[in-house]
Parts: sequence; C-alpha cells; structure tokens
Amino acid sequence: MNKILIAVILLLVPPRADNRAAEIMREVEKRARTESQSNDGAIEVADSGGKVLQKSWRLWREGNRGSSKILIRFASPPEVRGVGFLTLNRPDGPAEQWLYTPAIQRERRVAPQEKSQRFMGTDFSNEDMEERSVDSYEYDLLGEESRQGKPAYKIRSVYKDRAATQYSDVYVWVRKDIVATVFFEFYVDRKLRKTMAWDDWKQIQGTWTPHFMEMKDLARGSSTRIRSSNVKYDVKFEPDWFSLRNLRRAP
Amino acid sequence: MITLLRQISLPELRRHLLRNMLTALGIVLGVAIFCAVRSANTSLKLALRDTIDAIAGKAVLQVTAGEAGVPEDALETVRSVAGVRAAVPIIEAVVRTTDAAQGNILMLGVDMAGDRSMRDYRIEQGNEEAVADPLVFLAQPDSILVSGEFAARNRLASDSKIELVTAVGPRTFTVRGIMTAQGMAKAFGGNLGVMDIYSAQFIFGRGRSFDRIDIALADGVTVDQGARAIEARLGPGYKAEPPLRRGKQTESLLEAFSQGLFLSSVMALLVGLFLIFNAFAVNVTERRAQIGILRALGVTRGRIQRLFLGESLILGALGSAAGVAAGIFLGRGMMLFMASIVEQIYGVRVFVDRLRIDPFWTPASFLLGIGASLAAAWLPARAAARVDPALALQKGKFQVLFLGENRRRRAIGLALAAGSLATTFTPWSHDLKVQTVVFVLLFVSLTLLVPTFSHLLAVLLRRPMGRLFGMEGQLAADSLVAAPRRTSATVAALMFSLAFVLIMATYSVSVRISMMQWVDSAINSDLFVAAGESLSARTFQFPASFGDELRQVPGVRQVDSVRILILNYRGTAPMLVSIEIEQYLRRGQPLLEQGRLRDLAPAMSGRSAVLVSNNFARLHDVGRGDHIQLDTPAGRHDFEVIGVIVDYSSDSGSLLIDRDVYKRLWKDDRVDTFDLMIERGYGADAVKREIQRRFAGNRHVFVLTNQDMRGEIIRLTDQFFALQYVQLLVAVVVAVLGIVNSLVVSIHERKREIGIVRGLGGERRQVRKAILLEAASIGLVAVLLGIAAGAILGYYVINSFGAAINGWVFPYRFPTAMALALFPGVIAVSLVAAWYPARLALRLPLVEALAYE
Repeated sequence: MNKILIAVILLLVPPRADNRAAEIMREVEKRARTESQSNDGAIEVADSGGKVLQKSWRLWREGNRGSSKILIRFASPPEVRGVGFLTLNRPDGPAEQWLYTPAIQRERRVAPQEKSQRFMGTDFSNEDMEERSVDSYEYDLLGEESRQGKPAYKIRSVYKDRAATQYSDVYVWVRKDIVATVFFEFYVDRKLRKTMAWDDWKQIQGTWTPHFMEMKDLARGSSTRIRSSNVKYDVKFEPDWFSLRNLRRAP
Repeated sequence: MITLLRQISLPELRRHLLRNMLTALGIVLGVAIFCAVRSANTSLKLALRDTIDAIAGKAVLQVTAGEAGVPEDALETVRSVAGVRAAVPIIEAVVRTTDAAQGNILMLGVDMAGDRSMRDYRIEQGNEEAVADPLVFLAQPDSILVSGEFAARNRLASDSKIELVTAVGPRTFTVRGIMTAQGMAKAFGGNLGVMDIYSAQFIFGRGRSFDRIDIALADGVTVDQGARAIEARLGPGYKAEPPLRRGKQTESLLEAFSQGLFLSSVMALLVGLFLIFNAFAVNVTERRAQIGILRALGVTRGRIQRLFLGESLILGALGSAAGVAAGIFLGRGMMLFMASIVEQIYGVRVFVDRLRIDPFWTPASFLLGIGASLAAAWLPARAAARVDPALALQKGKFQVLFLGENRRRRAIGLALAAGSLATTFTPWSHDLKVQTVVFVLLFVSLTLLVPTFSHLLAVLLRRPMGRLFGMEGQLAADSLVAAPRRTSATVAALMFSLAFVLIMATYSVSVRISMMQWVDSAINSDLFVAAGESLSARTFQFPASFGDELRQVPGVRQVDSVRILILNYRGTAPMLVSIEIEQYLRRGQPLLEQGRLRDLAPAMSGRSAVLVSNNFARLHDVGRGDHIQLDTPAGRHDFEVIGVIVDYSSDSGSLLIDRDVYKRLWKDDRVDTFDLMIERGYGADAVKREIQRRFAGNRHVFVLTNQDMRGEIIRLTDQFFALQYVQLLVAVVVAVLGIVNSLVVSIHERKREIGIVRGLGGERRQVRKAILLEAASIGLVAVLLGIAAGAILGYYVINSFGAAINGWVFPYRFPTAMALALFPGVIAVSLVAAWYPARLALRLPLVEALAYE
C-alpha cells in the first residue's frame, strides 16, 4: 500500500472544531503511521476515450507527514525506465521535488505548480500530492453509512486556509472496524468533482494497508488506478538514499 | 476658386495629360518606395512582436543576461525573490527541418514540469491536454509538441517523426502532442514546436544556461516592483523587462537597416519634387498669356497662386494615391527582401508572411506626396502670381527676368556649401545631430547652385556640339541654353539621383578597400569551424570540449576558441569577442591605431583589459588608458582599454578580451567558432573534408577555409550595399522620366522652330537627331554635375556623416570606374528616353507647326 498516498489522503481530511471527528481522524493517522516503507506500484490512467497509459515503479519512504522523504523509481514502460522522482517534504515550507531523466543524465528541480493542475497526467492534482497536518482542517461528523459492506463514519472536512485549496469541501468515509479512510468525495465550488476509493485491505506488519486505490475525475470522465504490492514497513535505508546523488544513480 | 479650377485648371490638366502623368510619376515613385519601406518595416516589427507576445503567455517579465544566456543557478535565485509567483526557464531557437518543404520552425525549450503555469498547451477538443503522457515527454529527449498549423501543413500526427538540423547534427524527433491553434501556437506564423528544456540545452549547444527566465508575479506586485527586486538580487549583468521591450533590440536593428531604404525613398520623393517644380515652372512660362488675361480681368495675385497650387494639389493627390497603391503592391517584396537581409547580416530571423498596412505611415505617405507636390509648385505658383500683365506677352524678356534671381541664389548656395564643408574640420564633425543638419544644408546648397552650373555647361557645349554634329548639334545646344529653368530642373533631378548612386559607390569602394586590408591582417586562420550555417547565425554553439576533438584531427596544429556576444552598452549594441589572446596575437598582428603590439599579450592574458575597435573608440570617445564598465553575470566590471584596433566586425563597435576572463565573468564556456591553424604539409581543403567527414551526423559544423571566409565577408558586405542597386534603379527611372518630361515640353515649345526646319527642307532624321542630341546633352550635363556633386557629397559622407553614424572613417576612394561607366550609361538611357518625344516631334503636322503662334 502506498503509505504516502494514504498520508496524503489523511491530510485531506481536515480537522474541525467538532472534537469527535477530529479525534477519529487523529486515530486514523496514528494507526497508519510507520517510520519507513517500500513497495512496488502500478498505475493505470484511463482517459474518457478509453485510452489507457500504464506505468510501474518502486517506492521508498522515510519519515512521516510533513517531513517525509520519498524516492520513486519508474520501472516500465521502457520510455520511462530509470526516471527518478525525489520529494523532500519540509514542515516549515514547500516541498523540494526533483526529477531525474537518465536519457540526458540530468536532474531538474520541479517548480512549484498550480495546485489544480494534474500531476504527471494523472487524475491527482498537485494539491492532492501535498502533505498537510491533520490539524490544518476543520472536521464535522455527519453520521454513519455503509462502505465496502462495513459501517463507516462520514466526516466533512474543510481546509482552514481557504485561499490555498481548490476544494470547497472534502467528504471522508472512515471504516469503523479498521479505523481507516476508505472513500473520499472532493467538491469544487460545492459541486462534486472527484471521488477516490481505497480497497483491497491487508494487514502488513500489523498495519492495515489498502492495496488498491482509484481516483475518478467526474468532469473529465477519466480515472487513475494504483495497485500496490510487496509492501514492507520499517525498512532500513543507506544514509544517502534520499539524496540527489542517489537519484542520479539510474539502475 | 472652384469655378477657376473647373474652367481653367482641369482643361489645362487634360490638355497636357501625358506630360502631367509623367510629372506625377515622380511622386508615384517616391510615395511608392516610402510606403513600401514603411509598410515592410512595420510588418516585420509587428510579426516580431506577435511572436514575442504569443510565446510570452502569462509572463509579465523576462530575465536575460545578454547573449551569454542565464546560468542555471540564477533560476533558483529568481524563484526565491519575494513577489515572484512562478519562474520558468526558456530556450528559443529557429531551426531548419531537413525536409526543405517543411520549412523552419521556432523551437521552444521549456520545462514541461513547470511551464504550464505560464503557457497554454491545450488541444482544441474539450479540456484534454496536448501532452497525454507528460512523464514520457520528459523522459524521452526526442519528444516535441508542434502547433496544429505546422502539423496540418506537414501531415503530422501523434507519434509522427520529424527530422531537425541541430547542433549535434540531424536528429529525429517524435511528435507527442499537437497544440491548439491559438495563443502561443500562433507564434512565428504558426510554425512552433516545444521540447524539453534540458534536451534543448543539449541539441542547441547551450551548455548549462538558458536563453531567459519567464516570470509571473504574485498578486499585488507591479511589473516595476518585480523588475527592481529581481535585478537587485541578481546583480548588474541581468535585465528583467517586459516581453515586448526585449524585442526592442531586434526592432532597432530592423529600424537601422530600413534607414538606408528610407533614404532611397526620400531621394525618390525629392526627385519627384524636382520634376513637379520643373513641370510647373514650364507651365507658368507657357501660360503667362493666360495669366496676364486673368489678371487683367481682375483675378488677384492670391487667387492666381492658389489656382496653380490647386493644380499641384490635384496632381499630387492623384500621384500619391497611385503611389500608395504601388507601395502596397511592392511592400510584400520589400518585406521579404528586408527579412532576408536582416537574417543574413545580423543573424536574426523574423517570420513574416503577410504585409500589414501601417495605419499611420500609409496615410502619411499619401500626405507626404501631396506635401511634396505643393512644396514643389510653391515657387512657380508664386512666380505666376507675380507676372506683370503687360510683360506677360513678351516671351524673351520673361526668360531674362529669371536670370536676375540667379545671382542671389548662387551666392547663398556657395555660402551654404562652403559653410557645410567647413564643419568637417570642426569638433562637430562626428556629431550626428549637427551632421544631419549639415547634410540637409549641403543638399540645399547644391540645389541652389544647379541652375548656374547647368546653364554654364550648356553654354560650353554649344561650340563642340556644333562642330561635332553640325546643325542638329547646334539646335540641340541652343534649346538647352534658351530654356535654362526647364533644363536645370531636369538636370537637378538626374544629378541628385546620380550623386546618391556615387555616394553609395564611394562608400562601398572605400569600405571594401579598408575591409580587405583588415581581412588580410585579422582573418589569418587556415580554417574556421562554425556552429551556425552562416557567420551571423547564432542558433547553435559548440561545447568547449569540441575543441579537444578538433585537435585530434590530423593536420590541425592550433585551435582557438571564439565566442561572440552582442552587448548592451549605453544604448548601443557592440560586439564582444573573446579568444585565447596569447595564441591569437602569436598567429597574427592586428592593425593598431593606439597601443603597442608587444604590450597586448601580457596586459590582456587573464586580466581585465580590452582592445576596442576604432569605431567603438570614436563613438564612445575612449582611448588607450581609459576605463569602461561592462555589465556581466558576475556583476559590473571595470576594464582597462589597452589599445584601439582597426576592426570592421560591427557597425556598433567591437571589444576583444581574453577567453579566460570571459569565462570567469560571463560564466559561459561555449564557443561560436573555432579558428584552426594547420600543420605544414597539410592542405586546408583536405583537413576541411576530414572534419566534415568525421563529425557528420553527430555535429552540425560549417567549415570554411580562409578563402571561403574572405568570400563570405565580401558577400555579406555586398548584401549590405545591395541598396546601391536600388538607388541605381531609381536613378534610371528618374532619368527616363525627367528627360521624357523635359523633351516633351521642349518639343511643345519649339513647335514653330521644328516646323521651320521641316519647311526649309530639313529631313525627318535631322529633326530626330536634334531631339536625340538634346537628350544626350541633358544627360551629359547631368552626369558631369552628378559626378561633381557625388564627389563632394561622397567625401562629406565618408569623413563626417558616415563617421557620425558608425564611428568609422574610411580613406576616401572615388569610384572612378562607376563614374566613368555613368557617361555611356546615362547617355544611352537618355537616348532611349528621347525615343518617344522624337516620334512626337516627327508626328507634328507641318502646317500646324508653321501656324503655331
């Protein structure tokens, strides 16, 4: 399961003056917290015409929300083999992102992007990829519903800094049995724009981990599916694993 | 007034329709060239601005560091400036496709990971992005987007292949998206491509720099605030300015070049002015009886003057209208010609495919033609108003009265000429503003002196014409002498045309001789290896390491690396040339005007010392021992002027520094040209072929031998002086117009005389011969005066006016061959021009001719 994406999703669930909802979200974050991770990933991006682009990668993460370091190395298709993506998140400022292209043996710093723009052609926006604190949201517990055949809390979250988000509201469903977020609805100007589902839950080293995620862009008619495998937590890394020098070391 | 125009003027205009048409042709020509040049200039400037504007997108500022490019590390510095919302790097180059039918394409190198915040990359259908897979686009250096228009024209679709000429040889690229035909995709006439910036660095030889950085500012930050903050952070070697202002340097190049063509148009208008003056002066002479009658009937002097001015206005309006139409017709050809010349000389490519009618200059051309017509008719109209009704019937006396004015005119003309030429010996001799005024005064003085000298020459021709050609010769010479005003106006028009041709030729000859002397001393390498397809092209550069590869080529003994930049120095654009100074001075000896050769290497090697060109020294009043400050990416830097050399590389001046100093201060180790010396026993052509063979396919190299280089310099110089052929063409047309006009009037005036000659048994061929000899005489007088005027004006232009413009003072060389060629040339044209008037004379019915007056 892609811990980073879970963390991202968690961060999209804003806390709120409602203590119960905020407590639920903090518990979700606490249960999902691990110090490091590695996994294989495969992504499919399908456009409205049915055309599908596929890629696969290996991911490594160290640290947690706000100060994590993430290295992704693409493995397929051949056109992107060896491309590396390094993200260094900072608690006190914007993340530093670097992209390495083996074909020209150059890394480049990725400039801060428009939040609403799609990340690398997927249905995730640049805002969706940001790490945010649980406490930077306001939460509102709206009740309970069934999700994936299980009872789940329905929570409305709003990012406190309204100017820094494209979403007017995000609704989150938290399964009560595993205390994990399983479904999201993203609203722009109070209109439903995207949905995201987490599924195929497995417990890895004591941590419930979804192995399937699907983001749908309802306006565009496109979807992005991510499958994770070979998930490991508490992985030990070499000291310079999350550095530019390592980024340049194409496999 | 309207009644007078309708009852007197219109019938007169219709009665001499042919003559009036010929007269108006002078205005047509002048207005046409003026309108064509201005429209072409405007079209080029607007095309340039359209491209800059379309590409700029949301960028409100662009950061540049001159032609050296912006080092990569400046990007993060700019991003960290408060108020900068987005900063994205750009590389821009016009490249050729290997398929000539596909034409050129403007390639933008952008960072696709960040550029979408600056420019629109959408396709036409819905909201889909032009690039379906951005990661593949970034990962594959052969990825490009193309504009919809380019794709449609060349039948390209996604995954199509296209081959481009790059710094590393021909390369195949894959089309990974097609952009919508709006916004930036319309730049460069719709021939736009986009590729990843780091791939662009490699294939365009940019090393580790960008051409510029585009900036979007945060809300609430003004352009001025943003520019000041960015420049303060980066230092004096950088400039942050709005996109359109960045194009000003190229626009000023276009403007400078079009000045030469503008002079042609002014000359043509002036000539048209003379032709109208001539026609109206003759008109007044012919209609003096009519004027006398009108005055006797009570028409005031003022109305007489306005009557003639009204006729001139009608003629001017018709001529101007036709001139504007002709100018629009010529404008497209002129536009393509200017674009081609600017590319070849300055290396700047402007894509332009349609002529744009200038909303200011087009009506201005029309008004200019009318103004010239009125100005030309002013004096004759005033003379008409002053006609004494009693004297009006006395033909001979009327002519004599004009001669009295000649004395005052002659005195003023001589005084003006002497005073103007005297300024070449004063401290203002190289002051452009002063010399522009002086040039106009010189022109005025020669205008005032023409009647005197043309009359004098006509008198001197009488006896030899009679001796050589008998009665016909005498008749021809008498005709010139008897009508001094008609003759002098025609002669003046032709004289100035020829004088301008000789000025251009003088400049061309003087420049060529000096240029060849300079080439002998400065162009002393055996081979030149350039990254571009011509000396002025700066699309590609070589990495410094390519010099090591060249050293491995058998026969190569020495490799010098030359980098050339255009600087911005006190509003001018001098050329900065960097080279390994010790090696350069070992292999050749520059022509020094100040400084000592043995001092140069120790003073310049690794040090902040500069050699300046002679014209730079003159333009900026600097000499040996002075100091100049140059803005570099490393900050403003002081350089000592160690000497002044003769150099004709740039009309804005040039500066030579050591390559190590350049690399340190401009943070740029790229190379434009490698100068090679070869070993004894090796032939230059053989080494050239080996270089081309060795690097074909993986490097775009343009190899010239020393002979090739000299030929290229001569070709570029000739291109620059291509204008003189435009001048020559105008001169020929003027000659034909002026002489036809003058002879038609002459024949009309001499109807009775021709009738008497025929009546007394004169044959048709004798009459024809007399007309032809008259034409030849006008041509001969004009050539003699034209050579004299050309010599005076040419000397003045070389020593003062030209030097004030570009700082160069060339040794004066009179173009003897051209001057001698004018004699048979002009006389031949005059004879051709006389063909129609001669036929006219022969068609005069004898009875009517004898009954005239």
